[in-house]
Amino acid sequence: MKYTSIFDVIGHIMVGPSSSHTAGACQIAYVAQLLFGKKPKSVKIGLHGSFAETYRGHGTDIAILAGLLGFKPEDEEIKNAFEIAQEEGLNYTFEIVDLGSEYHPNSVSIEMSDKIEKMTVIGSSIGGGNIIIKNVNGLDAGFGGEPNTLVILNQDKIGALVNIANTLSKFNLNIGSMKISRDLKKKIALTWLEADSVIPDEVISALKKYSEIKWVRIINV
Amino acid sequence: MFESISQLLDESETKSIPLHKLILKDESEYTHISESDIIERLKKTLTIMKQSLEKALKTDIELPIKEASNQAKKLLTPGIFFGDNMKDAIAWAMIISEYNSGMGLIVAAPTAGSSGVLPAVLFKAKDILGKSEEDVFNALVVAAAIGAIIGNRAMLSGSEGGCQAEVGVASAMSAAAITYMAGGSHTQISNAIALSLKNLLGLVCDPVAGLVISPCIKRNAIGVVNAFLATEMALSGLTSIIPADEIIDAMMKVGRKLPYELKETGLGGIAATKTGKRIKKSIFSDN
Repeated sequence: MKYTSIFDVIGHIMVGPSSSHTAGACQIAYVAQLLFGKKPKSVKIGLHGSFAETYRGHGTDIAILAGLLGFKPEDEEIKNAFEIAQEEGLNYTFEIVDLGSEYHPNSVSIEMSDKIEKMTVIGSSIGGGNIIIKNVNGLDAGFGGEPNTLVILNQDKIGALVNIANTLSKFNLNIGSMKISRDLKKKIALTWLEADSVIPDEVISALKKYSEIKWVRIINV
Repeated sequence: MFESISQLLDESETKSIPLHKLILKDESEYTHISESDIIERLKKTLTIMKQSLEKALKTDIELPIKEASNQAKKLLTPGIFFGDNMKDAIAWAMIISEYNSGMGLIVAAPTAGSSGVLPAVLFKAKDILGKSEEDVFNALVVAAAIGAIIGNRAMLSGSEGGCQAEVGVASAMSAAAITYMAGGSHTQISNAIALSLKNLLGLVCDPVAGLVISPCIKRNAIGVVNAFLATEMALSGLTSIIPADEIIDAMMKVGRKLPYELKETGLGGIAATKTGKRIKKSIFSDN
């Protein structure tokens, strides 16, 4: 089911004008910078489908930039995102892209980088402010903005999942759902799971002790 | 979660649990969030809805389409053909909607483009029926559940299903909510949903210059009138010959068949008229 809570339908408190083109766009970008794990220095934003056709009118560009600056959809500062980006020295470009018909009409590709790293996240705004992150650095993904989501990039090797599951159980966290997508050539896997309760920050350091784990992010929005 | 309107209404009937209580219980079981936390969050939602109307009434909103600015408040005048209540209700919906278009803080219900309908209908029905805050809250719970069912069986966005999936759904959610508030039976609630959704079936999403302004703001007003119309019909005992769930399924199919140009791309409908194109050009002339 697409909508698993009444709050998916009523309860997106947000700055207008469009739940899918403003709030959803902001949310995708907000989650993208959480996945990057730090403030990007430079971002390349590719707008697809309806996002490409109408982004200026709906403030999609302002909203995406605001999300990348760490603002949430309900923050009334969103409308000042261009000025704030300039103040903070964030370089940005917008371009129209065609991600292909398998992507929802409201999709965006966000490439974030600093001097050391680069990450590309593709997300779709599926209506009413709800989102799905569809791709992270070329690996398929499928998590939304649900609270208590953990996203992990790990080497694709035996025992990786056991270590993740064991660590969570040590923190008394029950896993509600868990999915993996793999790149067999690069031997890496993206693992994402939803826990039944709030995931404490200590889980990150506990998981990082395992050499196969490259990064861990808590997405709690 | 409930998969159909009939499943929700039947379960409330057979278990003899009031609709809003059944919905809250189900939400809590499904999301593992306590009922008291859910209630607290929903109350906050209702507060923001009220604040958007209050703030919007006090704010002069500049819109990128100048001709479309400051329209809604002209309706805060005595009714000519409409009674004052109905005129107020359409004014409130458009005032919230204008506020949304000017990047004001609102509650999407189910979307931002259709965010004026539900609060306007709920608050005016409360006045007309002389109901309490708690009754409004309970009606909001019902509205949310109906929206979730329609979203899962069909869609809740102009880009996927046209305006029928935004203002159409907001209108159906509102009709269900105030039929419940008025003490309507489950059959009447189901009919109110069916009648309201049917009236706006096929409505396209054709925003001029791609902006959530025209026709969106005024379409919030038709969502309000249509909600009261369907409720009045249902409470008078009129029935929809096609059941609500089948209409939702029809809405989904119509939405899929609507061409790309009529799904929030700003390329068809009134957006593609001579004037629509001129406005688009004048706004984005720097490009």
